[in-house]
Amino acid sequence: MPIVRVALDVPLSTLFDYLVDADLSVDIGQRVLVPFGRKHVVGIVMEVAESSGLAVERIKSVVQVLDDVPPLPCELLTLLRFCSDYYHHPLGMTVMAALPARLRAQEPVAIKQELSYALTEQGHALDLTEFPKRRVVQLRLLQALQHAALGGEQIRALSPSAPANLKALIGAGWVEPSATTEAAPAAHVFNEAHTLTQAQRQAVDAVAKTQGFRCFLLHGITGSGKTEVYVHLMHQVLQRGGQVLLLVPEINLTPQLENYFRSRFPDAELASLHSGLNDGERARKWLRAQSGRARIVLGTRLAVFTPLPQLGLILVDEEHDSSFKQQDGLRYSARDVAIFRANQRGVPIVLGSATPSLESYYNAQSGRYQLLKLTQRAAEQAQLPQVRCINTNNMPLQEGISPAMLTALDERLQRKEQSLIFINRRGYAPVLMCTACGWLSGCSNCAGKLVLHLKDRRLRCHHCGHQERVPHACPGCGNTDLQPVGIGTQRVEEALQAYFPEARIMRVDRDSTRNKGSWIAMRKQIEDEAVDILVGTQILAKGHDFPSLTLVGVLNPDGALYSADFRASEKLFAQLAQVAGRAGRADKPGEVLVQTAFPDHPLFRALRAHDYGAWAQTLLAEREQAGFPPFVFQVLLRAEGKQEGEVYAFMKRAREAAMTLSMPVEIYGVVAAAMPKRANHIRAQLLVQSTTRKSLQQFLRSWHPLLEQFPAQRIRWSLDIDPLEF
Amino acid sequence: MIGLSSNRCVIDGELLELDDLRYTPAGIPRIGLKIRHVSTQQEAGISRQLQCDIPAVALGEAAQQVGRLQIGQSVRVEGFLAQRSLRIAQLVLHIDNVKLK
Repeated sequence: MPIVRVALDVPLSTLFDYLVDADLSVDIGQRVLVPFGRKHVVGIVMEVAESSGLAVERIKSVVQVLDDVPPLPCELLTLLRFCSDYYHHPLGMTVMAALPARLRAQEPVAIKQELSYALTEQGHALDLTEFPKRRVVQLRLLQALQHAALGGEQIRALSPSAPANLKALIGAGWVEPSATTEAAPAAHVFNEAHTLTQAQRQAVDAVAKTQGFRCFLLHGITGSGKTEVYVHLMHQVLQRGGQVLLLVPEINLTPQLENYFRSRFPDAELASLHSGLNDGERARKWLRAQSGRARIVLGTRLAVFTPLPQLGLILVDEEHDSSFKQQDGLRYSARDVAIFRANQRGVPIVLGSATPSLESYYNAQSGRYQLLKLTQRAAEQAQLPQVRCINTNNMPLQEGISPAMLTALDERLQRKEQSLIFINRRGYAPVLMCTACGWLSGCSNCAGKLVLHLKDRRLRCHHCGHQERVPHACPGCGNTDLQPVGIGTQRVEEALQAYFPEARIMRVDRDSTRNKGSWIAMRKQIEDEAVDILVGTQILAKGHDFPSLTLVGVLNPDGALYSADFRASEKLFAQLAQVAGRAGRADKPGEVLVQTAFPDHPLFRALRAHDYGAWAQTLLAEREQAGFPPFVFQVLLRAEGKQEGEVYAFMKRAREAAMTLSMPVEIYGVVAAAMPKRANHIRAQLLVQSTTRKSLQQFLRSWHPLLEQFPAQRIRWSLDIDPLEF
Repeated sequence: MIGLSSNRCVIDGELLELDDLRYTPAGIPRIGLKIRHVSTQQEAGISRQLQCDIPAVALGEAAQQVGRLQIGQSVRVEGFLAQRSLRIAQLVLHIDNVKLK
């Protein structure tokens, strides 16, 4: 009887053997229901074998083969095996985490049948020139339906009121829904709205003429039209019948891009995958991609595991963004996994960014990646914004805003142009202080401080979620006159409203965009120019295009210049270049003002000159000298637990084990984490690095099994390969 | 505790400066003010003239009362003395009672 080796969602690095009864047929990649302990669980068949190392009587049988969806392709299983190996995460957990929730459940994957809509005979007989012109949306629907039958998503893309109007048309007997017609993929239509600049054309050609795997780094300044390059590359792949995977860092960016691609490729089926979808939607889109129907898959990091039988190209937008790195469970970098996947499938991959990660830039310099540069803004009139620093050294500031900044804001208000004030801290003030005795609003569970949120009079911990009412008096000395120290978005919003009572100010941070759909509504308001001044965090920095925005003001970025995190200044530059890139994207010139006490810092010099290259060289020299990535490869062992002694005892053993292996790696620590206590857990870490990935992986293969043997009942530990956060 | 907890100060004077009424993060009203005191006092058996400007602050109910005053009005204020902050040694009168004179 054949044996199947099944991946199960359990924290053990093995597969589990099960017997297959003669009346069942099982393929690799299929979902099966198997007994595990006292329960039945769903797993994925990874291997089929003739015999097992275990005695036959000890092996249980597969209960059921769940064949309602096609098996996972072997390519995907190979990819997941690689991830499990490379990130040292149990294979079963890796495989199961990649699947949509519906495919992990025992219930059949019931997918709502997508209806498509077509004209009835009466509908075809209609003379549209006679149709009332006032019914704009109905007319548009009828015109589109004359061309071809449409699916629900295509209908919704026509207009927000399309579904209601469609109902009216069905009621009138002109349109009918049908469940069966799975229209063959329509002819490929490409709305070639823009002519490429020469640089864009060269980038497109370089990728298009590639045979097989090659990694490209598309380094284009903000507003240089990277998206247009993506569109043209997609066009070429779609033309050949291939599928394109586009990864973006933020769920917020997907609707905007989705609409854009739909308008350019009206007939290509597009599936967007991100964590905002419900389980049913996600499973449906995943299966559309697996069937090859969805030609464009647009998604956040988890989309990198979507099965794509005709994959022809992978695009990673804003490749430097740290959201591509998962911070728990399988700690993978979707960008790095995408590169592996492109290599495995023998297709090109393009990493796009205005401020590439140092890792990617270094690879482009050393020739491992091919560098493609866009150095001009795409719209002819659009100039790069002028960047200036306001020296706040020894300058007393009112609510953190300098007089020069206020003047610049006032000018924009006079000219009816939009401004953006960027401050990367939400809340009113980062800490509440008693100036009489020195008390600070610390979190009782964490090493961090409670942030003052004045709107609802609460102190909140941004690390553990603890919150409490603002105390009436200092818990230390009883003084009621407590002072908010520092500035956050709410305080800046309030101060600006006091300076400019007439101005329409909008705050954009995680608090104001918490509700589903609120950010979409806010963006609409910005586009409709119903907002004069935006005050916001990094949510505003990424990818958005606000044509009438001409001033970007940056408050208080200096903290990251001298941070203990060696990547802090790299991230800051990327963030400032991104946010600066919001200014002057259309015909009006933009200006960027940065308030800093260190205007001569190389970071600001490079920012003023729009010279990413110079900045990257500075950083690379620093990193090489200090022996940091990309010149070394790192793994971070983290442990946390309620008892400090237990955490450090585990880490000490881990360190001793690592030393005893005496392999060509460097071992640093044990040290307390940057946040030494979080949610009542003591946190410590140990860093291991090596000059090659290979020797680091060899070390991990010896070290990881030792770690698993150490008693660790009351602590949690994890390995983070290529860590980004420390 | 007797003899160690006394901190009481009564001052007559003219309201010289009055800040805007603000609220602490917990929502308690707070107002800063300055009082000019001019009087004749006895020192070493000799009568002397003196003038001083006294920085003061009022919180809670007292802040509401102070907020209704006009610059130039004569008042008698009562309260305790405390240091401006941990770092600034200047004394500030914390008013808990105010009367128009």
